[in-house]
Amino acid sequence: MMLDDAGFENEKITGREPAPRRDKPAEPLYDREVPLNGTSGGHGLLHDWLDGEVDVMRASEVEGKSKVELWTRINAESEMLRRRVTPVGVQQRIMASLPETPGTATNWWKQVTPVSAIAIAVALLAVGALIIQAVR
Amino acid sequence: MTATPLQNQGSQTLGGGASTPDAAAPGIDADQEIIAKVLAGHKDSFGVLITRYSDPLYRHALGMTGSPDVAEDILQASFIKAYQHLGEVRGRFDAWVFRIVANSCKDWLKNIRRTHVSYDEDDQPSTYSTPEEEMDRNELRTDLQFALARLAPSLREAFVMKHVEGRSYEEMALLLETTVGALKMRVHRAREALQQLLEEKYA
Repeated sequence: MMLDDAGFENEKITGREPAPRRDKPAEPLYDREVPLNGTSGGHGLLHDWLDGEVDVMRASEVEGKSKVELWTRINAESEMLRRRVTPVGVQQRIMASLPETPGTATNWWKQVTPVSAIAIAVALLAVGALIIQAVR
Repeated sequence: MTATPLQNQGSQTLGGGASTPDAAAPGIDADQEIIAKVLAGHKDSFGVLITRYSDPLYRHALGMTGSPDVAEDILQASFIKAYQHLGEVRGRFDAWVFRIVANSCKDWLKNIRRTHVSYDEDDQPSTYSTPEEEMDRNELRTDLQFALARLAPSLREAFVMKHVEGRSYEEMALLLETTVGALKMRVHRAREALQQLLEEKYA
């Protein structure tokens, strides 16, 4: 079985506890357990057709009409989804909910000036000295 | 000026009125100019980026979650997050904001593994020619969504980007920061899983 770099973690290998989930699916997800080309009767030409590399006639001859028809229907459904646009009013709603000022690169270490760094160091030393004195 | 993957989707591949033509041949440089304007205090300029990219991002969220309401919420939260971190953009804005949306979708899928989803929650007009055809396609749509819900998020993401959004493997690799080979494998695996789940009934 081939693995890709999708970043899945195999719980059996890592020994980590799976993250708690609400509404667990009744059946396992299809992630790794799907046979690839050559192990399930060969869908190579079907993929080639779906990727636009061979024509439908050739795919139909090799893979069978029923599979090609199924994927034609799935593609038609996908095409409908491809025509969907952001519902009216959503863009305005997003604009209305933006904060007044945008964020800038505000990593804390970039905001520390030499003077403030020295002040922080002196304060830490003073606190350390107080703690040592209190312990004695 | 270099066109961006998301815009290519909007203006070329999607067609059929799904694009955002008002975004008038923008590109990476144009995005950078807009970002500079927004950071200089022109908040309204951010609206141009929203207009430019909301459709492909909405479609991605819809394909991943199966719910128009959730897709809207993810889109809104993602743009707000992008605005709040706009000064941290390094490189392409479109790829950066896409990853915010994609990660939000995957987080949502991790937290709520829904088995029932519907695209009919809103009032998109029907394009079916007959009631019989509509029933037939509604059934396939529902079954397809059930099958998609059983895919691992990364397989679902690859399938949605390839089949629903109509992207090339190269665009997908750019947006997801991975290799074309890995994405082909995910798409193939997703197709085979879907076929296994659907062919008994439909093939």
